[in-house]
Amino acid sequence: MSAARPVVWAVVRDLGRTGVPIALARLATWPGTSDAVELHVIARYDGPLRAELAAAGTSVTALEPERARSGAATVAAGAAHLGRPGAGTAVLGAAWRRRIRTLPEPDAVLVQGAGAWPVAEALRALDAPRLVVHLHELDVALSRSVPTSALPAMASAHQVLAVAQPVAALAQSFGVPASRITIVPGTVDPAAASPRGRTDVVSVGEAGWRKGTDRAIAAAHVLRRTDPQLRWHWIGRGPEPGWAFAAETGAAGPVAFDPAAPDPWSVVDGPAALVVPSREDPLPLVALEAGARGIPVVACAGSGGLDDLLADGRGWLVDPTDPRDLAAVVAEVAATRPGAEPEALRAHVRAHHALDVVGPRWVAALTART
Amino acid sequence: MIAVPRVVLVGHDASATGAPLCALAWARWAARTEAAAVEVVLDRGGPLVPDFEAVAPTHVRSPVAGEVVAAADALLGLAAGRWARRGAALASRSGSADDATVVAASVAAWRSAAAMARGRSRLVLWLHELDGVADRIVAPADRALLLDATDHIVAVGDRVARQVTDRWGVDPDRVSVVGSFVDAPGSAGTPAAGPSPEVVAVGSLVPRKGAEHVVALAALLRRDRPALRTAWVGGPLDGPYADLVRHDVRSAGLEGSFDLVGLVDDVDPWWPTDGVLVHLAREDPAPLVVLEAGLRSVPVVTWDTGGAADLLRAAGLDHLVAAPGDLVAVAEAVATLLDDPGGRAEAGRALRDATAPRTTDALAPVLLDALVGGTR
Repeated sequence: MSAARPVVWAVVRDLGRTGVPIALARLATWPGTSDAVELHVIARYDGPLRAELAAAGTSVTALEPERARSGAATVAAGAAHLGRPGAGTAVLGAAWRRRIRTLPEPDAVLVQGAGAWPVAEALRALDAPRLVVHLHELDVALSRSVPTSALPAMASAHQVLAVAQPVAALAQSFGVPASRITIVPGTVDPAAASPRGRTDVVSVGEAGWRKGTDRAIAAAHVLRRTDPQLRWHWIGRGPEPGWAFAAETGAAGPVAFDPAAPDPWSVVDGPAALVVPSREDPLPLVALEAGARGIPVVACAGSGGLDDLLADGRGWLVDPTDPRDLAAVVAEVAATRPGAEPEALRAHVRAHHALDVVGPRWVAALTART
Repeated sequence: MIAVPRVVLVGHDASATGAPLCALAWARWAARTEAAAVEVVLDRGGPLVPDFEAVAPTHVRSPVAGEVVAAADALLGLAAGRWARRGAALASRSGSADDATVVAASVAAWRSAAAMARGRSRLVLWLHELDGVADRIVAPADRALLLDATDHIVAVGDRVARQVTDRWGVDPDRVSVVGSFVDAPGSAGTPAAGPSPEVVAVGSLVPRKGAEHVVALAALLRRDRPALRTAWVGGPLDGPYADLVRHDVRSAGLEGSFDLVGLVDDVDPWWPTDGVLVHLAREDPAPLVVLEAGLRSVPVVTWDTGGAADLLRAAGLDHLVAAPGDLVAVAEAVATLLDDPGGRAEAGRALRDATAPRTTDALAPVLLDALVGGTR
């Protein structure tokens, strides 16, 4: 390792305003990080977080534009279309390596999320002196990003960081020894307590199967019958093609879909609750943000790290089988005055998810300090 | 000899899915009745190719031509795709379409059909798609060019026609509605004896068809009826969406009570003779499976996302149509039917009456008139 600050490449799939890149941006811009390492963020796709990272003095390289397709990516897509994906990947990898040739050689490479694994592979960065993988995925998301054949290589990383205990268990299941796993959860800035209303509940995230949008819609239909004064907002990117209800009738549904916003908490003034109906969600940052603001959190049980976060009276966990159960809890939470749960969650978030708590653990993993 | 109209039916593939099945049923009728001289041109192959070949001269573009066209579309956009497609059309057909009506048998075949018509033949879009699918296949900017080249649009239902007139801005005079149709079942419409789960859904295992809604429905219903059996008939079982559905089946503890049957040659054994067919697609303009169920007097519960809802309402079965995504309302409707054999039979009869006019023999001639512009 260099005598000066060690050079760390943090490879991430994209710089969009979603969980994995946001988690990286928060830790990258934490003052303790720049004191300890020379960090270079390398993203496959550009995105809005680039400006925030750059403003904080972090080196950022985006290999591909956010929406358009580079020449190399067009060639790669064409090769894949004609049944030669390997050739396409080689073309892409060569182009990407040219993009980063001026960066200093890394002492450590951080693979931020499973979606970054193929990027790091194409950059030939997996044989760095120190390889750290920060896993933010559970079964389905992991299988979408990394082929099963790559898991042994991932398991041989020097350190695997898991955002929540279920992720750590998953890592162990594909061969990572417990001794090389550290829990590094998402972080959140302290926030002022939010004013609490009684008529609007929010869900946040990309609409779709993983985030359980269908569960929200089903419960919202029940609420429309039982508690028509309640409004359910879904803030985030709309569903992928094939996942949206028919335009003619779906738009009149009981959930109001609002576009993704840099600060989702500015969309609804004083939400009565955050509802997380996810099927698979290791530890959604939005739940930590709600917790920091004293907003009650209601979630479907069994999705991942929320089972622990909301345990011991810090929130509400609902069996997802019956939308009536979810609707009843949401209505009850919205109707009652703030109880002990939001304050308990707020204290827990402050104690376990503040940057000053998580940041040193993250830096230690990157630099192999113990 | 009386000249019969010549129709070139252009399809995107020969998969056993809605639009190709409808096209095949119509081509078969045309061959049997000699009402039209039909040629079939397919961008890609599929399991129905031998069936098409049995009823009409059928040209499947060469795999290389198909790939070049698809790559040109995907990478370079409509303009390049159009030239590639025109070359492929010339390479795959020796005849001329100049004196024929060229019919795009789906939105996915629209570009190919337009390239084949070349502005000299009557071009008709036989539209089986609603907004989500249609916009994904042909972006609105490209659609304007294709609409200019299209003489007429035949929509498979009122909802599809409203999309064309209200949201695409097409003059209603250029639009006809001919409902989708299926062949009348044999054996007097009696489902064959089979596994008979109480709740059945049939369709491709893709997100648009909403299989995870059926899993959620089964989990909800089993709270009060632990012996309930449910089946999803259709594949593929090896796609990424199937993994999600299996995840839901496992999470809900439904292993052993929820069958993911996969693609079957014959759906007949799976019709719920003592149960209910559910159709919980996100968007489905004209699901053939609902017609087939109706012709067999199998009651259907759906939500308001396409032609199934329109058909049930036409049958006076509004109470079996829920709002999109209202799983509890669907569960209550299904539970009511499961508990009431008389109500089930009554709903089945009403649906059978509503679907009786939706057979190939009844509607194929109407479709032919719409395709050729009433010039027969």
